[in-house]
Amino acid sequence: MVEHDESVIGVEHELGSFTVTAEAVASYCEALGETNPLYLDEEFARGTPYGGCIAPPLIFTTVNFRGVLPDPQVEFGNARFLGGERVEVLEPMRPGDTITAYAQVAEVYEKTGRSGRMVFVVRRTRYANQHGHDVALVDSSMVHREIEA
Amino acid sequence: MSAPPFEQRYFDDAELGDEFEEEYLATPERVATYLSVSRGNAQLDEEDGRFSDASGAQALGLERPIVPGVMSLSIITRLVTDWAGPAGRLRTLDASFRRPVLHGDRLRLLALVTDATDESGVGRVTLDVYLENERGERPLQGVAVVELPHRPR
Amino acid sequence: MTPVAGRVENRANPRQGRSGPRRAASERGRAIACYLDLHAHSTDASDDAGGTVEGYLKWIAARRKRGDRIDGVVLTEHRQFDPAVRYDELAERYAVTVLLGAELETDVGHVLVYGVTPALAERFDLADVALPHRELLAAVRDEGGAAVPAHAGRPRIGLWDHAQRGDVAFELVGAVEALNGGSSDEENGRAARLVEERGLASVGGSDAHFVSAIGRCLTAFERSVTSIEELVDELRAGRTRALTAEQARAEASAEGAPAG
Repeated sequence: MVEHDESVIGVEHELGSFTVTAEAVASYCEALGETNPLYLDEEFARGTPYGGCIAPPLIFTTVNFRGVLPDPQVEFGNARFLGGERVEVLEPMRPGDTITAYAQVAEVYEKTGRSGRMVFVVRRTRYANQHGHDVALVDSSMVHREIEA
Repeated sequence: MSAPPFEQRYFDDAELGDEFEEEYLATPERVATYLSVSRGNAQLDEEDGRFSDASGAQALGLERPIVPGVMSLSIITRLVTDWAGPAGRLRTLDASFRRPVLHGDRLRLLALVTDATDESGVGRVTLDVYLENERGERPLQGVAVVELPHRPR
Repeated sequence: MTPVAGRVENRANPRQGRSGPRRAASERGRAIACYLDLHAHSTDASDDAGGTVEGYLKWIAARRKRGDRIDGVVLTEHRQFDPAVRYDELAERYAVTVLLGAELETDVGHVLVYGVTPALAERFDLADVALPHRELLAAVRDEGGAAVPAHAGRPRIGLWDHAQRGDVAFELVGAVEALNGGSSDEENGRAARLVEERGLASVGGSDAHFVSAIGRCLTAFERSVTSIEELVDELRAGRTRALTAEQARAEASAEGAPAG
C-alpha cells in the first residue's frame, strides 16, 4: 500500500459555511442550462410539494473550500483527477439556507487500470443546514496518477 | 421515450427498460461559464490548466482540455431531475469516471430505468445513467435513484 | 458498437490435438444453441460495480420481452473467486444460467478464468495485479479450465499491447475476448485484428458493471452451456463466436428461436 498519513482517516473537520442565494442558484442554472422552474420560479415552486424554490441538488459542487480539505499526503502521483462521486440527497437546500460542510478522509486504496497504477483518496463530506439537519452526504474519490512527461 | 420538460413523471408509468436521452455539446465556452460560477472550488481549481488550456491539458497526457468532473455530474443530474418532474426527488447519484470528458465532445446523456419498487407507499425508481461520447466510449457511468409520486386517482 | 468484422478461421489448437480450420457456426449452417455474456461484475464482489446480480437478471427478463436473446451470464469478479457463492435460486426464478469465473490481472493484461479450482487459488494469489501469465495460463489448462485474455484491444490491460512487444506466450492462448462492451470501437477493432492475425477463437462479454450494460456483447455457442464444465469444454474446443446484442437478436429472429 502506498505511503500516506493514516492518522487523518476518519477524523471529521469543519470546512466552512456558505449561504445558498437566489443569485447563486440563477448563476448555476444558467451555467448548466437548467431551466427547471422549481429552481427559478417561486410562484411555480409554491405549487409543488416543496412549497417554494429549492436549489439544484449538486449546487454544493461550486462552493469554495480551497486549502482546507483533510489530506492524507499520499506519496504517489503527480496529478489528481476526480474518479467518481456518490451523492445522497437527504433534504433540499433552499435559497436563504446556511450550509456548513464537514469532511473527512474515509479511505485510501490502490488499483490498476488501462492507464496504469492509481491511488484513490475517498473523502466524505457532510452538509448540514442552519437547523442542524444533514442535507447531503457526498463521497468523492480523487484518483492520484503518475503522468509520464 | 421522453416527455416535455417538467411534466410530472409518475411511478405508475415507469417501466424497467424505459430509456431517455439528450444531446449535449461540451463546448469550451460552456466549461468556461461553469468555471466562472465555481471559481475557487478545490476540486476545480487545479492550476495546471486542464480545464481551459491546451498545453496544460497535453502536459497531463490529455488530448485536449477536459470538462470538470463535477460539471459532468451536474449535467447528468439535470437529465434525471428534468425527467422526474417537479414532484420527483433525487435521492442518490453514484457515478464514476472511466475516461475524461473532452472539450468539444458531442455527448449523449442517457438514462435507463433498471428497477422500480414501491416501498411502503414510496415509489423508488433506479436508473443507470451514462455520458457517451461520439467515439462510443462512456466516460461517465453510474446509478441514480429517484422517488416519484403515484398518479393521483 | 461496431461489430467485429468478418468471421475468423481458427487455426488448430495444439492443446486439443485437433486440426483444420474452425468456422463460425452460422457459416456451417448450424443453429446457435445459446448466447452467454461471459464477462460481468456485480456489487456482490466488485467495488466498482453498480449492478446487483438480481438486477442483471431482471434486466435480462425485461430485454427478452423486447426481443433480445441472452441465455446466461458469467460473473467474473475482479481478482477473486468465492466457490461458496451460489445464485441457483435467482437463476431458476429468472430462467437465466448464472455461472462463476474470475477476472485476474497478469503481466500481459487481464484474463478471464473459467474453472477456478481450489488448487489454482492455492497456488496463485488471485488478488495479485501482475500474475505471471505463462504460469497462470498453463496451470488453468492443466487444471481443466479455460483462460481467455479480456478486452484484448485495450492499452496496458489488453493482450494486444503486450503482443506488440513480443511478450505473450501465444501457445497458451486459444481464445481472446474480441468484443468487450466497455471497450471503444478502436479497441475492439484491435482485438479483432489480433484474432485474425493469430487465428484465435473469439468471445464476447459486456464487462458490465451496471445493470443496463449486461448482454451488450455476447458469445454464441453451438452447444448448450448450462454449467462451467460445459462452458470450459466449448471454450477449449474453440466453438465460440463473439457478437453484439443486436447481432444476436437478428440471428435469433432469423432462426425463429424463441427469446429466453
